[in-house]
Amino acid sequence: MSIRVRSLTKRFRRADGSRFTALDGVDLDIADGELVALLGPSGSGKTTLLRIVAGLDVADAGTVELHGHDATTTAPQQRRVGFVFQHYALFRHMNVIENIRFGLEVKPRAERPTRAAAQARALELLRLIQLDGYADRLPHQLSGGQRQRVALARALAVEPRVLLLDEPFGALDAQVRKDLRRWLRRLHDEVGITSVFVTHDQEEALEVADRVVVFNQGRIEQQGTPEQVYLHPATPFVHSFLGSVNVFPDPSASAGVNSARYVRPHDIEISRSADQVSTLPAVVRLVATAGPVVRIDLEQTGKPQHIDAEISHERHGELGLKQGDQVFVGFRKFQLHGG
Amino acid sequence: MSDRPGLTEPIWLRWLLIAIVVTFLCGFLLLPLAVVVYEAFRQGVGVYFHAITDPVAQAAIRLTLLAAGVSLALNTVFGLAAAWTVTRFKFPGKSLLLTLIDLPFAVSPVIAGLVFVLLFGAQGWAKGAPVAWLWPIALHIATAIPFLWLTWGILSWALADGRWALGRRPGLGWWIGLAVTTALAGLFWFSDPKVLAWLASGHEFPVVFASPGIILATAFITFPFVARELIPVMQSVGQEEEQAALSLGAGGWTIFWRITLPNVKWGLLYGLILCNARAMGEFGAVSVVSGHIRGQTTTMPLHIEILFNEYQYAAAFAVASLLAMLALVTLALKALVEWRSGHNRRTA
Repeated sequence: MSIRVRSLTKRFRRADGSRFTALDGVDLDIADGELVALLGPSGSGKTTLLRIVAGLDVADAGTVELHGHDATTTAPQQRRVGFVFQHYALFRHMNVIENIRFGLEVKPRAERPTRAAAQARALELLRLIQLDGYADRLPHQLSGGQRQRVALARALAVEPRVLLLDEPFGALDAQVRKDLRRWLRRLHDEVGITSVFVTHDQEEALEVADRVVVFNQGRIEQQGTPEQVYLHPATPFVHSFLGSVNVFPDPSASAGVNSARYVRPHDIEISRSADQVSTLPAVVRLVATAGPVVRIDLEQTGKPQHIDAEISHERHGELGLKQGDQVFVGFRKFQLHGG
Repeated sequence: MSDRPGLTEPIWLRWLLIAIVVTFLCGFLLLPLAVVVYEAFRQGVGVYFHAITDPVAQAAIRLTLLAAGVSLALNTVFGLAAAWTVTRFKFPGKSLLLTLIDLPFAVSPVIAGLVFVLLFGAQGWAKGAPVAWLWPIALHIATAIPFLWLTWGILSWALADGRWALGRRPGLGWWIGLAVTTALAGLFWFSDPKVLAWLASGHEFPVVFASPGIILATAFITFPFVARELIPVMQSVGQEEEQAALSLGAGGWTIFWRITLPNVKWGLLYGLILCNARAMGEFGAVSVVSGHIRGQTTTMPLHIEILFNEYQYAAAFAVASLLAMLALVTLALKALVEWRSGHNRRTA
């Protein structure tokens, strides 16, 4: 086991003096060679967890084990953990190759490689991040994506046993983001280093990670493979955080039980006339045809229930929906979450 | 050039404003400077060189350079220590420390000088019999301050092992470091045989009406420049780079020398230049503690005043032209640093 976190708790004091619980007794295990995403809204504790594992923050309670050794009080320098910051944190007065070499140059004398060896290792990493020929550039002469790759190379130079990435693509353009996350996945498969990255972008987490850990209010809501968390969300929070969802009161619920039906927009069936599936009368409010699917906003007749639906362009062609049309809506699939 | 009406001022207004500024600059800056040079050379080059090679003038130049030099050295250490403490630690009393840093700016230089006279002077209250023991202690604390700051800094770095880069509340080690260095500094100063002998004897260590007083007053007056310049720079640079260095295995000293200091070097240099300009030109505080002993306790501004009062205009202006030249060199350096750091900041 690479990382073993037990009942980690961390509270912060806000500017107004009130207490805020960032982590509330979190347990987490990360196996060797895994690529794990910590996913959650801002303030859910995922970055705090990452910083505590790196030694950049101290927990109020709980333990951190790295490779079977208790590291709760180990200095960050001794943890052999690579950390990649959201805003890169490149040393602005050093060029690319000096940035990458830094970790090698500050090693204790006994472990420090020779100047030539350090340079060779740095050049090798420069090739790995596909920035050969950029050795003499200063950080401000690089694009955001290039800077983040340099930050990654700098962290990898000291051969950490664990790589932690804090919102690594958070500050990048949408297109660069997509390219870079596929590149990160390939890099992970190549290097094989245990990696944990923090993100609030569910698409990013589902696409890149082997395993997704969903955080909410300082607790882990659910963890599992991307398929597991997306197709079988364990809680209403996970259901609505991973993709959009419609929530309907459950008609079969007995009195006093607040269970509800969670339906994804693409599981909503629309038809012109009532049938076995489509039973709820509704009015079309808006039709958006731009994009890979047609998105339709509906409102259930006689109720303040708003419905988001997604249908294929073919189906839209058959139905020919316009604003104000009376239709019937049904669910192809739904999940019950009790209250 | 866009001269779209309504978006810019009318042309006559622009020319009027420019004319006002140019007239003001000429009348209040360039003209006096020209007058200084003209008056200095009015009685010939011989008089000019005689005035600036006069032993008393030479002594004044040396004292000015000494006071400025020592102030720069002390304030580099003070300023870095203060800015570093304020921006990298959380501790109670931080706003009080910030206020204290500004104190020399808030207090009139003359009052600052008077305080030193009152503390250390022959008629000062510290000379009175019941409080005779206070004055050596005050003097030694004052002279031990740079030593204290330095050792405190060194020990806290060593003890905190780079954890300061995390912006945490100072740990037990920091407080122990403070206590140990205070004790060490006390021991160092009070175990010095010269100090003990002096304490036992008639307490003769001239501060007021002597060079130490002038240096002390100059250092006090110029204290805020470096710290005030560094605090916002250190705040805007932030701690992420230091934390990155930490996670790469660097220790506290390495982080300070290789990350923190290079990131603030232009701010530091700019602060030092301002500090230098003020140190060389300081009149009020220095005048009070000086005693105007010619050739011994007169700095350049004081020397100029004496010459002027004695109707030796040519000599006064000759020394003034030297001081003006030093100011111009400082200004040029400042412009250079501004250009370089602006260049750096723009591209960072």
